[in-house]
Amino acid sequence: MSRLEEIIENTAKVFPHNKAIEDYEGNAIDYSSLETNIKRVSNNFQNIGIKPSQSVSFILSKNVDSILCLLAVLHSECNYIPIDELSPPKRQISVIVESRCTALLFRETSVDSQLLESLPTARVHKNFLGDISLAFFNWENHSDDFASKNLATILFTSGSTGIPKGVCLKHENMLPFIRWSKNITNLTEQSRVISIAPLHFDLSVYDIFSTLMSGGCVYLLPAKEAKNPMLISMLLEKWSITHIYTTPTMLKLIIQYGKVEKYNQTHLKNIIFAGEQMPVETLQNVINTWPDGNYFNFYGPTETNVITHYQVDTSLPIENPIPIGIECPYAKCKILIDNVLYFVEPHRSGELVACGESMFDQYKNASSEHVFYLDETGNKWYKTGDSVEINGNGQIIYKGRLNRMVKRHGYRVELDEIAKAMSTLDDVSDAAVIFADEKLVAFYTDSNFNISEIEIRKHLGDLLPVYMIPDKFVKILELPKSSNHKIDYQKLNSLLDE
Amino acid sequence: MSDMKETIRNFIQSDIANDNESISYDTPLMSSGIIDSITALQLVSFLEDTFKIEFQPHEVDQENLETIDTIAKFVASKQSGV
Repeated sequence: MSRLEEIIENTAKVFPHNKAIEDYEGNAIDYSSLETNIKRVSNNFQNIGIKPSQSVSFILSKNVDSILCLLAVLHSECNYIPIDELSPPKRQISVIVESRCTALLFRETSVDSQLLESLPTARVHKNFLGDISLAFFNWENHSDDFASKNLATILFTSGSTGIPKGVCLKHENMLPFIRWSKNITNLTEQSRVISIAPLHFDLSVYDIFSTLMSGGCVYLLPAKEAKNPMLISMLLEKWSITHIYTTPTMLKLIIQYGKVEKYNQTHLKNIIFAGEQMPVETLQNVINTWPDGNYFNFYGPTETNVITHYQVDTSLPIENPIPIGIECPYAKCKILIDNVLYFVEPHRSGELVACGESMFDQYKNASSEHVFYLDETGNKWYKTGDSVEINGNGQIIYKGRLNRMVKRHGYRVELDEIAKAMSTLDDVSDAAVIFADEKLVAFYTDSNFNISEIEIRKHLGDLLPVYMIPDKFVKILELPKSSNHKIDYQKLNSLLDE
Repeated sequence: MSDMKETIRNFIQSDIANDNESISYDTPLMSSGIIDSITALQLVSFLEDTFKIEFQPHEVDQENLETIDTIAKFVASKQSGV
């Protein structure tokens, strides 16, 4: 198997009548109909002018039809670009422009009416599939050097320049993780997996593809419902969910606010978390709630997908901090210290670097040169930007970020992207954002003293997704600067304590 | 009803919003980002405990939690069993 769409072809042969996908609205489809429908939709794509190697972006809430479109895009030898349906139209437009995608799949009811007018829209096929429409774009002077049938998806993540960066992932990058994760997390044709992560978050690769490889069923939650832990808790019972892959924050919220004692969640046996460091206390609460579970900590940036894993031994006291574990079989990890590579061995500490089949080659719209370390044999190692330490058992421990990127609710947030967005306000002459005590704090100067916090929030709300909006705003006369005129972040941190 | 709104306003003002934001009964709370998906749950817990009502999972949404006015209306309808 060398392509993602072959996953469904294979499973449909073995488990044709197993339910493959069910959504929140109650629509469901089995593997045999899924395979037939993928071919039909893929033919329709070709009939209206979609050609192999093209990019098709998505602003679609997750349901059966959306996933059908996604799989049909892959079957047409095209790649999919998932866009956050909840992010502001300006950011959606920015991703579409940066990706230079051939077409966009969307629902008229859930995109801004101005969106298509702000883009070089050539034509729109209304109700291409059910309520899903398809718009074609006409980019001037666009020659696509990246076009390749091997490309499966481009995932856009926060970029420090203020423009999201598109991580290009090929079929061959994604399949090793899909095969491995299916086996290690005990996915079988009996499994029922709840899909919480939106499609633009790489956790969704497991939910969709690892599940479909196993013959189990993936239960889709739309973006709005996926933010409601009380609802998720209820659905764990209603759908008899066996597998959940989400962030530590979401697990914590389900336990805290999900009224778990009201629901029968005893089917839940495999709990996988990733996207941020799991606090020991949270994990203890989660294990107390679902004591029969297998617990997995997955780690990896979008650029490499999951590269390390750690299975929690629930019969022992929880290790503090919880390790991100050991490398996955398809990945190779090393530690970079003062520009020299070292093996992962006890008591080393430095930057985690990785290479292997799951690693990306390039960004769609930015240079990737600076993110790789070239060793003496010419091997490219992806520099994760994460500071790690190896414990006495050879397990990798996550220590924190080396640069100005943080994780929030599992999403990558470049602090400088927020500062740049604030600076686009006329009244804000200077801005800087720090991450302190798990909160985003924005400092800004307002020379005319005439902008309110609510106005700033509203402006940022037009530019950035909700998880990038600062928790706290601090107006100051002048940002502290170091001698070379760089913002003094240490000083800003100390201002908070005053 | 105005007592209820004031109780809700006090909670949001002291436990959720930043000090320098002043919240009135019709200030948009969720669409403006003053309340996010996490603080919404704190608010729901507070409302359930204070007013002895219970939210159904699907009721934790912007429609019910957008302003103090809509929250009070929702709580009142729950209390009257409608």
